Parts: sequence; structure tokens; C-alpha cells
Amino acid sequence: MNPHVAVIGVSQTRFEADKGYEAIIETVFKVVREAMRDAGINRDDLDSIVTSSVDLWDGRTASNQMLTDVVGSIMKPESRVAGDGLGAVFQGMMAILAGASEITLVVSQCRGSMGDHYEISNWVFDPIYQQTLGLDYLSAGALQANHYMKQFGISQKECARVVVKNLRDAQNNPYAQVAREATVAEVMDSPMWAYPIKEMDAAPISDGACAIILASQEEGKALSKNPVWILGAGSCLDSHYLGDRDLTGGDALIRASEKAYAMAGIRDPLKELDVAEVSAAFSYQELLWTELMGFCGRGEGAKILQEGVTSMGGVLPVNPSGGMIAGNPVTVAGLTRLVEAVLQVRGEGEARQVRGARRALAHGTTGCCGQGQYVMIVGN
Amino acid sequence: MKRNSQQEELLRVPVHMKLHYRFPAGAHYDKFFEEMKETGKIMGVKCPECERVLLPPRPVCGECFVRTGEWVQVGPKGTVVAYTSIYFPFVDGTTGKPRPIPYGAGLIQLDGAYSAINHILEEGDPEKLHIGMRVEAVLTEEREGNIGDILYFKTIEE
Ligand SMILES: [Zn+2]
Repeated sequence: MNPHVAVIGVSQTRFEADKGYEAIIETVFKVVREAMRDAGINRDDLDSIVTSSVDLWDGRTASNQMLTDVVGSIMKPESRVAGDGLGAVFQGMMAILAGASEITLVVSQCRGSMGDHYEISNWVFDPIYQQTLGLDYLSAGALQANHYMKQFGISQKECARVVVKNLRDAQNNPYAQVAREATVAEVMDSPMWAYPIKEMDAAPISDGACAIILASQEEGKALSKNPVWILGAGSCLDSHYLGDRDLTGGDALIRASEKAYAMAGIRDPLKELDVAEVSAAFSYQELLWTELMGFCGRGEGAKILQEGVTSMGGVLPVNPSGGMIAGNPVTVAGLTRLVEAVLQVRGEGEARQVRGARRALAHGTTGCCGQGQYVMIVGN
Repeated sequence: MKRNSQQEELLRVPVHMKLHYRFPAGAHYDKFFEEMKETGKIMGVKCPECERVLLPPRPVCGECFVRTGEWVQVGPKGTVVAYTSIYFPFVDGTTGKPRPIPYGAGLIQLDGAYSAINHILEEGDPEKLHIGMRVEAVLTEEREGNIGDILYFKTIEE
């Protein structure tokens, strides 16, 4: 194993329902400067920049252009991924692996409070057919939830346990937006949004930003005593139309994770990974994604949760940060998973630290119902 | 099925995009418009390193990658650094009404500012517009704290 790309700096903002007290550029400047400070570099050291955001959430087109000043990209090459921040990391890695960049900043931001999240997500769909029927991330997610739950006989209460676990663990995460002791009954009693998804099953609408600094092998070693390496990475895209996919089959995530495991030399993820940060916008997705990434057999996601395998202190804790249930700025979520994974491997997870974590998985998705899937393995 | 030819038009679906936003303007725009509304002053913000006075005011100087510092009053007189005359109708976002055409649009470097700002020029005749011409901001009587508080820039003789 000879990893080529290091993560030498990370930073995230606190997730909040409304950061209207500061401009987007203010938030992004803070998070970028903090990532640079963490990496021990300054703007002159940056060779390239990758941003991640989506125009419709930003309420303007080519919306990365408003960030030029604050991501340090004046007179430098910048590219932009209109999708999840973990996908943007692939773009950053490519620049480094191609030899075009030694040090690359990857930053993602979103203000969920600016617009209407589900109204905007309606625009993800085909405007000629699907959009007019009112399809959005919520109703599409509900189709997938039922498909999955019927196939394996998963109950709403079993999904509710994901929420209880994540909200509880989020209390250890100073960046969380929602964190508290909750009960299965509370989740079950929360208003029904799109059967079987209830209000508490869904990630909140959030504002936030996240940044990481990537470095080549040489710079990683030079700049950092103990760099965290990207040991494996895989990405895969499923069909756009929901009706063309096997909603529960999840081939895209199976392929993305298998590729990442193969690169990292992992045969048994449950045994060889120490912690996983998973992007699940709805409670059922955490169960489904953990199965597809091979942490357990198909239909056993709820069982291993119930047995405590994926809880803090379990064999493979999933989302010690609270995951997206604790805060969910669109596109920022996947990059946040990587930041959390890096902090775990550094042993800097504070109250949410998984003891002795050496290898961590970060997972991101883009599009509806996990159309695009990204998996990364980081370690020392 | 129709063939895609010049004789037969294929289906086109009219779509109206209607989304709602509340843009977080941030503390710098907040002060910029508050000052314009209350005192009629146009304020820029100075970078402590390169000492450029930036407009519109903002929290960060991108060139120096540092926080900006003190507020500086600029204008209301300035110099046109680029101009055009617009001959197509444009609905004025602050009034909701179409602006009479032709109208002048320019980049105006206000006295004391580094950045030139976009705005409307009272003069719409391209024959009467030129780079380097002097102009002055004309503000509305009843100001609301938005960019419409500056009606336009009028030509001045000095
Ligand atoms: Zn400066």
C-alpha cells in the first residue's frame, strides 16, 4: 500500500438552521482559513481549488464565482463540482495524481435557510415529466424507503432507532445542529411527511460549510508529521430515472465501496474498519447504506443496529457525529463525513472519538435516493 | 412519430421557474445600505494590506486574503471607466417596471474608491457617453436601503 494523496487540513462550521447573521462569504472564509491553519499553509501554497455547491440552493447561477475571494482562487485554477463535497474530493485527488497540483483546497458550502429545500429538490427531476408530478427528495426517498422496508420486513420503529442513536451521539459533536435524547415513540409520533418517512426520520435543513486541504505524497510527508492518507476511493453513478433502478439493490454503492476496499486492501469492512461516517438524509438510508457497503448481510442493517454493532462502543460505530440527522447542508454532508473520518484517525474526535481508530470510512451521495455514491477510506 | 425537420415542430414544454429565496446579505452590505438610507453616503471598505478601497464593501480582500478594515466614504462623484447604451427592455428589479430605452449603463469609479461599480447612467445616447467622463450619483428622496436608492449617475461638468 503506497498512498498518493494526503489530507493535511480539515475544518467545519457548526451546522445551524439559519446563519443569516453572516454572509456566505464570511462563513466560507472562516472555514477555509481554519483548514489552512490546520494544515500549516497559507494562500500562496495552494496550487488549485475545488469548490462544491449547487446553483439552485445558492439562488444564482455559476454560484461558485461568488466565492473566488474567500477560497483564495484569484489568479489560481479553480474547478467546481455541482454536487456533493466528497465528489469534489475526487476532483481534487485527480489534480494531484495528474501532477498538476501539489496542494489542493476542497470546500463545500450550502445555505438551506435561503430557499425551500424540497421545492428546490423538485428541480432535480425531469421538468417535462417527473417534476410536474411533485417529485422531490422527500417523496422519492419515501418510495425507496418502502421498497427497502417491504423487501426485508423492516419496521418504522427499526428505522426510528437510527434517529435515536444519531441524535444521542450528536450530543458529543460540538458542530451538530440537532442533538438530544429522543425515544422511538417520539420519532413514531412525529408528523407523517411521506409514508413511511416522518419529520424526525428526515435530516434537518441546515446552513454550513466544510473545507479540507489535500496534498501530494511528497508535500503530505513534508508538511505533516502524521498525515492522514486516502487509502481507497470509489465512486459510481446509477441511472437517473428511479424506475430504471433497483431502488434497494444499490449497485452503485456496492461498486463504489468495493472499489474503495480493493484499493485499501480491505476484505472484511466490519472487521477492518474502525469507524464509518455515512451520508443518510433519512433514517432508513443509514440501514440500507450499511448493508450495501457490506457491514452486514442484506436486510440486516436494523439487526446490527439493534445489537449495538454500529453504536458507539460497537464493532463498527456508524456516525459518531450524529450523521446528517444532526445537520444537513446539501453538498456539504459528504465532505463533513470525510472531515469526521480524518478527525477520528487523528484521534481528535474528542467526546465522539472511537478509541484507537486507525481506519475510517467516509461516504457521500449526490442526487436523489443515492444516485451518485462516493466512498473513501482514510488511515495513517 | 414526427421527424425532426423544419416542417414539423416538436413538442416544447413551457416551464416557469419560480423559486423563493432570502439572501443573507451579511454585515457589510447591511451597513452599506443602512448608511445609504440614513445619511445618503456611499461607503467603501479598506483593505489594511493593499489599502484598496473596495466597493461593494465586503468582509475579505481576495487579493490579500485578509479581513478588510476601516470604512471610507467615497463619491458621490466619479469617473466612467466603461459604458454602454441598452436598447432592449429590462425590468428594474427595484421598481418592477421596465426602464425606458435606451438607457446608459456603466462602470463608475467613485472618487476615493479602487473598485468601479456598476450602475445606470442618466445619459443614454452613446454619442454623448465617453470613457473618462465625470458623473455624480443622484439619490432618491425616500430611501429604502437598497441599490435603488441611487437612481442613476448624472453627467457633470467640472
Ligand atoms: Zn488587500
